Amino acid sequence: MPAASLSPPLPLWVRVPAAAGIALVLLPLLAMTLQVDWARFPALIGSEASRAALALSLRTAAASTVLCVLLGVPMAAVLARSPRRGTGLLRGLVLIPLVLPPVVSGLALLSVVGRQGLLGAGLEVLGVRIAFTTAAVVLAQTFVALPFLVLSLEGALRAADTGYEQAAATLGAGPTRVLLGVTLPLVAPSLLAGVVLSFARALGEFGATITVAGSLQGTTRTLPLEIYLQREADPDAAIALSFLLILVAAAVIALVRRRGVR
Amino acid sequence: MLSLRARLPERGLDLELELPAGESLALVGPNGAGKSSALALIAGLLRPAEGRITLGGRVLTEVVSGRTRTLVPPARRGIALLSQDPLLLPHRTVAGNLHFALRAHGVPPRRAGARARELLEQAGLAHLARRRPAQLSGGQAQRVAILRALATEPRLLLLDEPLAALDVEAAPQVRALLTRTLETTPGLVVTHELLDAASLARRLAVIEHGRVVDHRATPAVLADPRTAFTARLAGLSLLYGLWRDGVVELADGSRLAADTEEALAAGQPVRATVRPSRVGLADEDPPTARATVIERPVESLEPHGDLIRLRTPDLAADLDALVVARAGLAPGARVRLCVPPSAVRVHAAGDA
Repeated sequence: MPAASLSPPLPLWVRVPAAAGIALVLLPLLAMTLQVDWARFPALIGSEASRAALALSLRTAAASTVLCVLLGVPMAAVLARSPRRGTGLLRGLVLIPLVLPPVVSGLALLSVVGRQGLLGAGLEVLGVRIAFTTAAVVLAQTFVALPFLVLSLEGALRAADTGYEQAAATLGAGPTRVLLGVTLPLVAPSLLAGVVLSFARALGEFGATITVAGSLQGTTRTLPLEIYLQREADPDAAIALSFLLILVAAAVIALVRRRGVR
Repeated sequence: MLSLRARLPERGLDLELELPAGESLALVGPNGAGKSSALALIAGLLRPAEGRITLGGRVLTEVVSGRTRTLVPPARRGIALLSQDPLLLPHRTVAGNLHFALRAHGVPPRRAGARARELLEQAGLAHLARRRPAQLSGGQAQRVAILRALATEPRLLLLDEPLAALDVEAAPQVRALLTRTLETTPGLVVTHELLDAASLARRLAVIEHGRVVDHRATPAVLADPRTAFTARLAGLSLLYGLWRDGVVELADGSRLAADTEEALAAGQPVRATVRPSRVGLADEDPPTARATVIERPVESLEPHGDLIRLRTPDLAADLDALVVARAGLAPGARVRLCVPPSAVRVHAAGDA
């Protein structure tokens, strides 16, 4: 290994705020882990309400992730291959769910699929209802999670070497074969990172979900909603369920980082 | 037959090229002259501002006064492009890469697997079938890339410096495969190497400043280079002057005796090529009766095989290291060169 080059030293005091920042992130997680009632842990996360919430969360987050891939991959591809000028506005719009307060996202969705909403009113006539159903949960989660997939994929697609695609084209591969057989496999690590991130965002969704879908056990009450409810009724159960979500978050980070380094 | 006529002002291109059916062509020229752009135009990866490209009577590209009449997508041209980077799909094995090409060419999935194995066996590369491109040497990867291109049965192969990235050990094997390949599939080979220009194709075209400045049979170009670039490629010195009955009068007034079979009129502008290996030092070997002795400043000395190539502004000489040392030659010194008439070839200028 070549000798590491000496970079100019950082002032020592920088370490103090840096350490404070790390403490800010770690301390709450550590404190909560210490509060977990390990003796009752299996019973707490095994209650009917908890199991229903967990099952609903996994189902809806999985469905949202699939939707994110089906919609987000084409979005990323179109954005990445369009000239930057002209698509700048579109690119900004895609990011809106990322910066919008989730409650506002929920209200915005409600104004589309709510009973008086843009589409909701018409759907109501046809006997189809989306607001306050499991479909609304998936809708809310997809809305907030989509930018994560689009962002991580678009950057990778823009940076990807188009030489492989040109070579494939001169071999006779049509646009669909090039996209599915060359372009996407080449950015597979970024695609996976985007999938994992959007799954995690969907799993943790709270504000938009409660606004557009409400909190009905087994139908729309996902794990974060269940935790919020239990916080009053049974704090120990809330902490146990929170610990479960921390484990999922840690697994997600591990998966993304392992892939990202390669 | 291939016919190319294309203008692309933003890249300074104004190309015209015709290639008889079944013939291969080596394409040479300085860096940035437009060789790779010519291939991209033929492959359909570049659209000319104006032009028409046909292959075997089929119009591939036609742009008339800025309006695109025809632009067949690269995938439907039946033309495979190969660069110095093999560009094997990194997420597929060697067999998987062939499979991809066969499927792209329309071979049904079940037949494609067997055909891929068959192609690898024929090429003696069956042992690489399960390897990933990252596990191949440069030469192996390029041979697989050639095989992959051939799997699609192209009507024309475009090869952009296919041997440039290979080391001296790997190049001969790939060159041999290319030589065999070009016997059956016509190709356009962009190259910097005299060896490739001479061995891979019977025709040679020279592109300079976005134009085809010379296009003849390879031996003709090498024997009578018309531009400084091709003279250097052929290893010859190129000089211009006027014909004065057995002597070429150069611009500085010096005279170069030459033998020629061409009928030349007195005062006619001519092009003379001199082979550096035939040029010596006048002080070392006493010049024969008709030999020219010409004095020049030494510009540079550089290794050339087991000899030393001495360059002056217009003439070069390949000298023994012993001779160079004995004469104490160094850049800036003046040297008296001896050029026998038989080392000089003269052609009428302006017939390019």
